[in-house]
Amino acid sequence: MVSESKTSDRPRRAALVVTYVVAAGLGYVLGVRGALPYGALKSSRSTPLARVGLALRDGVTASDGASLALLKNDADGVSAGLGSPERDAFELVAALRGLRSGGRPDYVAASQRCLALKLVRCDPRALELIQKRSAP
Amino acid sequence: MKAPRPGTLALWLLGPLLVAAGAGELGSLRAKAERGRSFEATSSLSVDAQKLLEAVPARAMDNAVWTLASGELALKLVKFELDELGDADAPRHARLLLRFGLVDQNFDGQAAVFAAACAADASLCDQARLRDAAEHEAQLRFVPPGNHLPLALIGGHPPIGAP
Repeated sequence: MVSESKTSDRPRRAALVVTYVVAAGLGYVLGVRGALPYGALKSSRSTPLARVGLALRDGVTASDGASLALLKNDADGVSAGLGSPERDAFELVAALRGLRSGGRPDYVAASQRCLALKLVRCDPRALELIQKRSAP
Repeated sequence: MKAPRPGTLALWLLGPLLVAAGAGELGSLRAKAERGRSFEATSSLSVDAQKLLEAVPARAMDNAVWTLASGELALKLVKFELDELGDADAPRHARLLLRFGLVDQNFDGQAAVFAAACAADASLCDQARLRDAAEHEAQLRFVPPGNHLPLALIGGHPPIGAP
């Protein structure tokens, strides 16, 4: 009698365990993606523009791949929201301050943006000067 | 049809919801940690501090271009920074108006812009300070227009009829 009851309870228990596991998995994924109406991500005021601003103000200090990838994404996002010629100016600063290259200046990209902006000079010394002046 | 017992409801509905909520919070915390120091540092800023930080890219762009750009491009970037800055930083706002006045070749326009700079930053209502600030901005610019003080700020008309 007892063993019969246990056997009939098995599918029910299994369904319960599956329900809890699915609920935990779903909650976790939604939490990671910031899709829940609460949580550490929702309460954050951080924006891509503010993070790019922080990197330009303090320099690109992050050394781990995840932070650098996030900064690159942020720079892409900020750039995409700009029109011309502001986008070229942003890309010039991003290249000179190394927003997408871990803080190392990318003078080739900077030179291209400098030419696109038709600045009076785009030689290496001029780019170094612009780099210094671009400090906020 | 029998209504479900409270125990059954708790077990099959409330329990999974609580587990999902807890797991969601954990996922959110992990995602926040993975986004690194910059995300953490900009997560809990005051509204004013966030505005200032969000104006930094525009400031860097304007500063970069101010040095060697044509007058037209320099003005566009000054306007862009003014728009981004809003009323967050009055002294910087005044400096941008000075840049605007330096590039503007119209005397009336210059006078109006310098008056607006004085309104934005009262310290610039003093003519000597206004001249010093404008001179500083002009020195940062290597190409005309805007790389020298306008006549209105140089002052000192020679005495008429002097020997």
